[in-house]
Amino acid sequence: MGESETTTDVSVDQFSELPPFIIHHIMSRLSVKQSAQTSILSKRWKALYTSFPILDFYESYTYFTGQNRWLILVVENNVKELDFEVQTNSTYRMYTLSQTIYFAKSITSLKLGGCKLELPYGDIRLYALKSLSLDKVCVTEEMLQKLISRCSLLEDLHLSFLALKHIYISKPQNLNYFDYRVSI
Amino acid sequence: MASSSSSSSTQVKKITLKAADGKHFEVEEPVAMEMETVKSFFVGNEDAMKDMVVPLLNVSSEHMPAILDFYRNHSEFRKRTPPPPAEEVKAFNEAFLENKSDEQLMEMIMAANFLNTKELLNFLTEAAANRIKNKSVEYVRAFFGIENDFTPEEEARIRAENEWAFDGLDED
Repeated sequence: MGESETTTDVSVDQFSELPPFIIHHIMSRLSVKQSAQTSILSKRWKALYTSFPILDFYESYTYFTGQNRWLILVVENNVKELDFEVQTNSTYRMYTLSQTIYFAKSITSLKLGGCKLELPYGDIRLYALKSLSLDKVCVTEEMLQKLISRCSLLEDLHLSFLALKHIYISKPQNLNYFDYRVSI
Repeated sequence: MASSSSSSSTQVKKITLKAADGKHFEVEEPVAMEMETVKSFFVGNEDAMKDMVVPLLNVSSEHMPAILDFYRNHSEFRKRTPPPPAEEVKAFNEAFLENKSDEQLMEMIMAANFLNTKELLNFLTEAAANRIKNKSVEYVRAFFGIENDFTPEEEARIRAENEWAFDGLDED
């Protein structure tokens, strides 16, 4: 197959030396699936894919069920903004975001929609979180209160369509924007 | 060279750019200033005179006319009121890419990167992404001139680890 071109000279190919920034630029314009395929091109590209700062998932639900590996990647790679929304009609089988999310200590902006949060059994380490938005997220009052009280840098808080009877928020020092929506 | 003119204020000032292979290009100042690299040559550099030749070490003269054409047209698009219809911009962009080989596209990306100009770089990286969309792994390797340095075992392992990404993809 492509073997006929195996020249032995070591001429550095100029394109493989595209700067990382450019490669990330190109990756950002590919579908999530295709940008993940670049990890198989070569060792350099695999490393570049792993360090790709934008994880723009817009994929079918089936890719996520039963695995939270993507979330581990988010945490390990110090992602700063996460916008995660599951579009589903089912209220019975909600996607449960794993505990891993509470360890995302670099996240400054977290937007979640259509999923379920687990009661954190350990620490909440969202130390950098400044903006939190929960839309149709399944949480309990206790969880929400715990979550907000541990994020001392929180500035913006958007809560919409959470099925909660009461919301109690002890005002964190930096909170200067609070938006709360309910359905009637 | 012939620019002894500080009196030619009615004319658009020109800036001379020197491509990597030494060829000179006289460019209207506003067009030249679209390139951050050229701009930063003058801004905050009091010693730089407008008649100095700006060396562009990473840009080959082969691509200069096209690149300048892009800046001229796009800065005109931006300034026009009412804004040009989307089809007009699209038509220009398509014509711009029409006869460019993959290799030329890559060289221009490097040039746009060196010239530090977001608009052109965004445009070209998008064009590159479009050219590799839904293509096989082998095709993409050839496109970027990437040498596969994985062993077959490593490659199989990565495929298995990222099964969802390769699911349904054509074999090469």
